[in-house]
Amino acid sequence: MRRVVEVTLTLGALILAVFLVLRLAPGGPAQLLLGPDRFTPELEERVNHTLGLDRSLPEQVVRWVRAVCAGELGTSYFHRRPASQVVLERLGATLILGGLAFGLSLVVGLSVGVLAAARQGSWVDRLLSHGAVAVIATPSFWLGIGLILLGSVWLGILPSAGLAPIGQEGDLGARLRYLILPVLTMAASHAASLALYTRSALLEVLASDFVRTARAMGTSARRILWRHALSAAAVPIITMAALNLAHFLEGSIVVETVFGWPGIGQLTTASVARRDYPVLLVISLWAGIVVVTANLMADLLTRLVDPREAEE
Amino acid sequence: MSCYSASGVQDIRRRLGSRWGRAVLGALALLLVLPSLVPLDPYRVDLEAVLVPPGPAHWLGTDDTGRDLLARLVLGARATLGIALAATLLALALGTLVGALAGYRGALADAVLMRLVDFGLAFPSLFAILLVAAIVPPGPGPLIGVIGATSWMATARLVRAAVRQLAGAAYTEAARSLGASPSRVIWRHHLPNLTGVLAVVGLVQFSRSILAEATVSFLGFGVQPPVPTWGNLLMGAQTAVFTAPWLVLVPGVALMATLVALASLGLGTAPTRLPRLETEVHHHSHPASPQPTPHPTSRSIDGRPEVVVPHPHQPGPAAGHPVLPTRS
Amino acid sequence: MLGLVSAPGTAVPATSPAPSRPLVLGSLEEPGSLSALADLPHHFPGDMPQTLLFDSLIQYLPDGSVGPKLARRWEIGAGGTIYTFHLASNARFHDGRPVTAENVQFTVAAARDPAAQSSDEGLEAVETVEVLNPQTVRFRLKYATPRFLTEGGSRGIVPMHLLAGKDLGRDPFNRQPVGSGPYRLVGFTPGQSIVLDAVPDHYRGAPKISRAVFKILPDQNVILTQLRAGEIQYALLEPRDLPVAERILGVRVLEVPATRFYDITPNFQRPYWQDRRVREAVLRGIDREGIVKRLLGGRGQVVHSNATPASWAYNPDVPRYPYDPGRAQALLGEAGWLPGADGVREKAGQRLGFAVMVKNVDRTLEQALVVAQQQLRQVGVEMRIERLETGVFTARMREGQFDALSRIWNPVYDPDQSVLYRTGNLYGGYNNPEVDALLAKGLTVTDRASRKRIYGEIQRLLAQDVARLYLYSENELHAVATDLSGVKPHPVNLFWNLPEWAWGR
Repeated sequence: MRRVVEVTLTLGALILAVFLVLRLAPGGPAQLLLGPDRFTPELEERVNHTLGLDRSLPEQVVRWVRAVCAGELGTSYFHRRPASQVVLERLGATLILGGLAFGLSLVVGLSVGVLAAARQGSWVDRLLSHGAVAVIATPSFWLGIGLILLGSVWLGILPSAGLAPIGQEGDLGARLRYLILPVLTMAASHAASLALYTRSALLEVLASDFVRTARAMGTSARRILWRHALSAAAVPIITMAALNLAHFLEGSIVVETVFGWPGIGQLTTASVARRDYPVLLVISLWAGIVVVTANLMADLLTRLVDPREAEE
Repeated sequence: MSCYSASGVQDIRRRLGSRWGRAVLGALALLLVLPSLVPLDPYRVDLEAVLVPPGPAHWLGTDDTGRDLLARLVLGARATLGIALAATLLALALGTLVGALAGYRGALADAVLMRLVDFGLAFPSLFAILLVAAIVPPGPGPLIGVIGATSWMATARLVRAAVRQLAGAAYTEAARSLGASPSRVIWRHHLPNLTGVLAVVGLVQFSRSILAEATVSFLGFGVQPPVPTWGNLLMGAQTAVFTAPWLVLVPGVALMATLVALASLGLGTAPTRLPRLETEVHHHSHPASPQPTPHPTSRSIDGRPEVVVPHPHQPGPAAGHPVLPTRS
Repeated sequence: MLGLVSAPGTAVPATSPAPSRPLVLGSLEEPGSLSALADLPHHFPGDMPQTLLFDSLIQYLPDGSVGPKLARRWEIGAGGTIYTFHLASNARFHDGRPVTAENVQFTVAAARDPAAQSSDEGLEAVETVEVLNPQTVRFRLKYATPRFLTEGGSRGIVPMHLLAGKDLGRDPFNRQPVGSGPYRLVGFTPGQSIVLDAVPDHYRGAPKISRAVFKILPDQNVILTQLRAGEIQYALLEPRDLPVAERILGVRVLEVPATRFYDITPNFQRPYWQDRRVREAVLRGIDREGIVKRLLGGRGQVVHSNATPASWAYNPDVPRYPYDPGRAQALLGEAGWLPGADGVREKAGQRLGFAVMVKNVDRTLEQALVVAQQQLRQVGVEMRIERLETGVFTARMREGQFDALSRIWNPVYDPDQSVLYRTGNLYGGYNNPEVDALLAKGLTVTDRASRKRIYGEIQRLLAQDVARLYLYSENELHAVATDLSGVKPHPVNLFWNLPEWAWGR
């Protein structure tokens, strides 16, 4: 399948990018582990040798790939624990945030889109559509900061950062408050574009001959809208949503930075600064997996809903 | 002599020509030259006036070293808009190159290049920026490069589709049969038509580049302080929110206002219709289904896929054709 | 992801003290590994867990002297090259096994083993470590240095029986450390919290507070919020937090003068830096008093040489260069740098400008440099500020690829900074044979008074030479709950006597 090639390419490129940084970025893990003042070239050589960083680049890539196939994903330099463990610890936070945001954006986006299409031309439609355009035009980091201003500073009821209050990590109720602002921020622009997309897809169908004929034949406008338009428009909408999923699961660096959310995004930023390559490689693997999954889902849903759309 | 309906482009032109459109473009141009005209010093430190809220002495307040926010905002506009412009041009150039090659050359080149496009879309761009920042110290140059390198894909797709249509058009055959060389055909007939497409895409890309610059500088990987841009004025703003909210509100509102104004021209990050030739190409292959399977045409720098959607302003159902580039 | 992880093999003693209220400390720093071997120098407060989990040979005291810890007494012989430590016989690791000389020997060997990726800080001078008997260990040094006792003696001792033969870079010990400190690990939720419980039969006495929690928080705002809510009882503050922190009921701000300071280090390869007049002029062109007063809120002081008042070796009697733009301009003129068309001085076609590199995490320093930049422009010097990522900064510093750099210096345990000023140093290349001689002498002399004189003289010479553009020292600002008693300032680590902290005024 075409997708397989595309995905393998992406995955390969991600991995290669990390190794390139390994080779080209000044200041390797040795310097950061030893500290700037204890650092001597001899010590650096010794540490690099231990970490296997003094071999040639192709050799390092090959060794890594072999290790991965054997199930060994490397050890984090900074944490001195298996890199996979380090990534998995943070994955939960990212998945919770991404999953909830995805769900919210689907629900809100679809509803708003349907509503706007149903009331096309009215003030409701104009309000929703312009609102959606405005949301898309807002950078997500500023949306997040704006929400903090609103919820934490002015209203003072929502926390501005973190996962959960101290000592209450297990308390789901307490954690919910901490999720509100980040989830809203993350879901907003996807919901908005999904809404606009849904709206236009529905309008397109409504304008089609098929529907006009059906309407002429007397079926009530409502039923037309719901039964035919939705099913016809479902395919592209669902497919787009599935492709969006990749972004939600990859870990948003922006949202996590703004809200101090300890997920994969923050881990990526910190790991680049620390030159913690094993962790970066595992994160790349995860990103690749996510892209595969999203694409596969999109394909699957396409086939399921409308076999005619199945291509190549 | 163009042979496709340029109603999409004309639409844009009309909107741009309207009073509102001219006002917006005028304002943007003004922002670019304003720093040179107005005698404000964005670098002047004043330890006596640290973190002053907006007032008569400093209309928009000051930052943590007493620098005037209005001055920094004005200079920041030039940086942000300038970088966005440069990145847009880069993206257009790259996209046109790839798209044209794919359209004009044979199926193999086409396949390879389109895979390149797909891969480019799937690669997480912020991750790429982090990696680049580790190798090359961040600054305006690398920033323009990275934004350009992560946003040429939409242009490539559209140029390719346009080119394929043009290449198959009747008048091209006519010109060729009259003995015109391929390059002459390209130059005299195709390019002028492409400019329409490129203009629309370029303006969309401009919006997205502003967004990208803001996000990357906010994270600290773009233009470095003390040089101000709208993005890095907000760097770390989420902690200043409690003590100095004007530092957060002012640059953010400026950004939003610009982007919304651009969007209102139908040139927002969710752009309006593109030249109808796109739809025609598609409808030939799928007459029965009303929708092509969507594929994101582009991704904003923070990963949000953007699909071309018609502007809500469009009157009537007939105008509501969503224009979606196909995968083939 | 959630939940507590028990340290393996922990022998829970028969009697535990009645659990008192837990002490929660808030921090922005996340420790990567909890092993004493991974302890990167002085990431206070990030190294708090290691401080409490692992005991070292000696205890560095607030006045700079050294007291017993694992080593109850010691002898120094052969002109300072032989140290014989006698260990406490009742010191045990958290799993019950006794701490013996073998463990000390093992720790030193591991610290110098490249496979452990550990720094051998404090132990560079060690030649051999001999186990004379289970309670006695003898170090032979290659050369005499007072830093061995203070720095080397502060290294946490690790259990050989758990680490011998293991891959130190990835052993579970990094997450489940076992030391001989007054607290043992009870739970470690990476990225969130570390929970420590007191060891009730600890050889130095049971800690008064039975549980200490180290909480990792995302940003300074959250820290302040948590302080206000009483959810944490300690946090490190920045000057900008003071107005808020001082108004929190139940919290007091403890201001501790620090030994660390900032400066601008010139690269003496650049011709303009080689002229002493230029160095003095640039220094005089910066209003350091103003920076301390306005940016630090007065919580700090200007430094005039390579020691701060918090150091026992501090010499207040050194040449000073107060802010004086007029004098700065005169000096530059004398040196042949005359104002050019745009105000920036020139000499033989060269502009007087340089780029100072700074790490992108040093925010207050950046602000100070922005202020300095403007002030220097007024005397005709163009200073550009280059924010760099830590890795890039370190690489360029090592390779000497800079005009000037600015960063923090922390002569933590000892005023000796030979590495920075000796001829052939990799920190800008300053050299002065007189200083070299004094630096060497300072390491061989052992009594405090003599050393103080020597380092005092070094400070005077460095200031006279304007070897660096010394800037300022920030006082440490600690937010401490008012109902916490026993907190005593310490130049290195405020948690040095945490076992003596107690609830109640």
